[in-house]
Amino acid sequence: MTHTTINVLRTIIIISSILLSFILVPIIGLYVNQTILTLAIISLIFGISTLGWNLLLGYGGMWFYGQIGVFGLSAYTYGLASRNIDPWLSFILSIIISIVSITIISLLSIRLKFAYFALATFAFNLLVSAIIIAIYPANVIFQIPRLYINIFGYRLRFDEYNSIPYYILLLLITITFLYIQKRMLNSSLGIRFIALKENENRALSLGMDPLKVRLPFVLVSVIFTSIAGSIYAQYLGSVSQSIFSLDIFIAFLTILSLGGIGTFYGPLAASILWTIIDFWLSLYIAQYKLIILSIVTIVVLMYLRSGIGGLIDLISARLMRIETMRQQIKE
Amino acid sequence: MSIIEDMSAIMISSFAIGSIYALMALGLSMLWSTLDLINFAHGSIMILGAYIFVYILMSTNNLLLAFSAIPIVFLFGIAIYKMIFEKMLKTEDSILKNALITLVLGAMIEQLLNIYFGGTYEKIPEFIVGYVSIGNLKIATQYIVISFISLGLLILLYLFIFYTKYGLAIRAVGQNLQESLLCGLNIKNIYAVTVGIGFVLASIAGILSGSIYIFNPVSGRIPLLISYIIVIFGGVGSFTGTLVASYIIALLYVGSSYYIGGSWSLFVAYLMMLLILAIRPYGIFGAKR
Amino acid sequence: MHLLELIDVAIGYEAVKIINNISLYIDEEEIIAIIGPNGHGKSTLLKGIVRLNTIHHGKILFRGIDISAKEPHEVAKLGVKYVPETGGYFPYMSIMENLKIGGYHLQSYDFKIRLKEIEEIFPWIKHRYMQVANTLSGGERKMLSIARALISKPEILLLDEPSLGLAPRAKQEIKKAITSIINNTKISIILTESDLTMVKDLANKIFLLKNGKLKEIEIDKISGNLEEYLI
Repeated sequence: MTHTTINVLRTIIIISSILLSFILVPIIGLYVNQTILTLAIISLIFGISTLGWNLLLGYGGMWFYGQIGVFGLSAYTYGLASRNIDPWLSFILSIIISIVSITIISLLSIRLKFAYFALATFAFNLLVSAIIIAIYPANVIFQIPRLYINIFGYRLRFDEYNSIPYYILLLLITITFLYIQKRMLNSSLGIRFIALKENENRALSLGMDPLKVRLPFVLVSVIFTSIAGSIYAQYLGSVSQSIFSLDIFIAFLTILSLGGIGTFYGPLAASILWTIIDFWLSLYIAQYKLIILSIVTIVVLMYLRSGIGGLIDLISARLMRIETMRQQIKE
Repeated sequence: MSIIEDMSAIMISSFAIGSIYALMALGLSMLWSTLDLINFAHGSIMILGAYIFVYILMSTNNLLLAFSAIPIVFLFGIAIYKMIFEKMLKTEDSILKNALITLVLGAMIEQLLNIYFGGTYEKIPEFIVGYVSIGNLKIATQYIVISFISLGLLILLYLFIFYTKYGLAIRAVGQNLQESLLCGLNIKNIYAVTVGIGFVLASIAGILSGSIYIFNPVSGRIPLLISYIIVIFGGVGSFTGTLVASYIIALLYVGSSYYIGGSWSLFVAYLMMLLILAIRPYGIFGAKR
Repeated sequence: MHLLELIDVAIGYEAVKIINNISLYIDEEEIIAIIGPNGHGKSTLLKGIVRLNTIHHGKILFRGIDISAKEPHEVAKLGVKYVPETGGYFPYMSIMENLKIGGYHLQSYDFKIRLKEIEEIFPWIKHRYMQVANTLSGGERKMLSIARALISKPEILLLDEPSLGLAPRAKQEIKKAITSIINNTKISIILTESDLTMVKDLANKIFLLKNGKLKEIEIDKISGNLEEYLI
């Protein structure tokens, strides 16, 4: 195998997995077991959010802790707004509200050292949950309207027949997000973004403004997390303060750690793994599920440098190295 | 009630609460400045202390024995350090990873408390029951007891940090790690003890505040936030700064709770924090870093 | 048995070897100077002795005890004290507190005796105990870091470029202090230097560390100008 062969292999794997996910999962979901579809949808929702978190934390070295807040805020905004306004408009509204609140916080704290930014965003989570719990204490928002498409004048809800439209939508969103991430990270802005992480002082001395470099990434992360949150709310059909509970909080952390902070596909792979583990644990030891996941997360953070994503990169690097050595022996 | 009585009530509450917060915030500040540990589990440990205290009290009916919760938390802190943080010493990105670990740890502690103590509220009974009257004002004696205890502890802490050899060692490690090694200081042991002390301070705050407020497993979240606001306002690593900030923030918090209402005082605290971050992020006395 | 002996040592950082196949020894009351071009490993050598970096292979023996696997604080407690090029003090503490940390393991009466000795070597310190370290001048900070190492009565003092970055007058004071240490104590010293005026009158033996190799220079053969060795 030559280097080009390995690259071609990699592209083939990616493309075929995309095609498979588009075709295979829906088929299994329809004819074999509905649960597969549910699991797939949940893993994509959490996957997208964690990809957003990973973009900031892993690539940008930003101590952004506001993911849950954005997720929950969007879910609630969508749930509340869509009762009165058109679902698509509520969708956009929840995105806008998330963007606005995070931008305000960022403007104030994005230039500060890591821990201070962490606090501002972490407190944002607490604040959002506290305010929402204060305004809507025990209420659960039911019957959240779904998104729809207009075909031949008929309004078809996304879950009219089955959840496949949601699945396809999420798949498209995931692919788009990955694509945007790749483009952004490889652009000159992206290089500066990563430089800011690697060596903050040097980057600053070169005249970089952290706000200008980082804010676009924050916005992208927030937009996609917000989308995920809104879809979560409508897919579940209801939203309550449980969205701010420990379960989702630990879920994000577990997925991020398992996937490997700073790896590209890691969060996505870990999300799939987590969904399966979580589902399985909920069936058998629901009460201790959180404890087990917490312990796993701590162990992964302690010992597995780069999680699953790291393993993928490690394997392909090994292959490359074996190949290089083989060529050197030939010469 | 007249304005003077209002003011007095607020002042006394603020002093008691400020002293409690000072203990907790100083613990947080110590962990941050000495070990670079951003402890998001600080609130959970505060409540853990309170729960252990209640548990021992309920099981043995002995108030003195209940205070053994404190050495238990101390040992817990040392154990956590040895099992987790010591192993992270030479890892890449350890500051970030440790912070994430404390996040998970805090959630785990909350969940464990949920499982074992259920969802009902607990309260630590007052050490001395009764009221003290000043004019028309009735103050629960417990407030005064708490104030004395926390004040005493704060003085002890100050003396320990600034007038003992070990305190000197802890400060040294926070200022210059390599130099401390070169002077023969055993860093790992000092780190372990510091974590123990930090946890103990949080749990004492939990026990004291648990004697005037009811609590449940998630009651530590808001104190966590407030402790951070205090530490940032006072300047990380600055003893006097954190102390002064505690009383100021307590006053603002109690005051706004009184006039605006409980849930909004959190909002006020948050705005305060954003303001501080915007204007003087390194604290009133300036942080060491 | 030598006081300190390096046997075929390779020192570096995690994956990189900076110096290789180094052998060196020092006995009681000896003063060794190591000179050489910058970046060739003088600091690395000293740091290796106190275990601040990685020893890839070889042994370091202190009074016959193998210290190559010990932790830095253990080596310090044995009596090998290292004074770094910069930052060998605690900036936010007073001079007295700095010295107290330096003498952390001493008994209090011992500490008082040592304090008197420090005062003899650095007389200016006597009146400035309460001054905070980061308000001192560059030369004074250097002297403080030497004092900090000295107060614990080490057997070996490792000085890493003691005159680095100092004005000529400060350099003289450092040289005077080191001479005082040599005359009044039995401490052995290994110092690295790029400024050869420091080295000429102080050392019994002079070594050249260049391209990773350590070579002794015969003092009698020195024509007076050591500069040529630095290229």
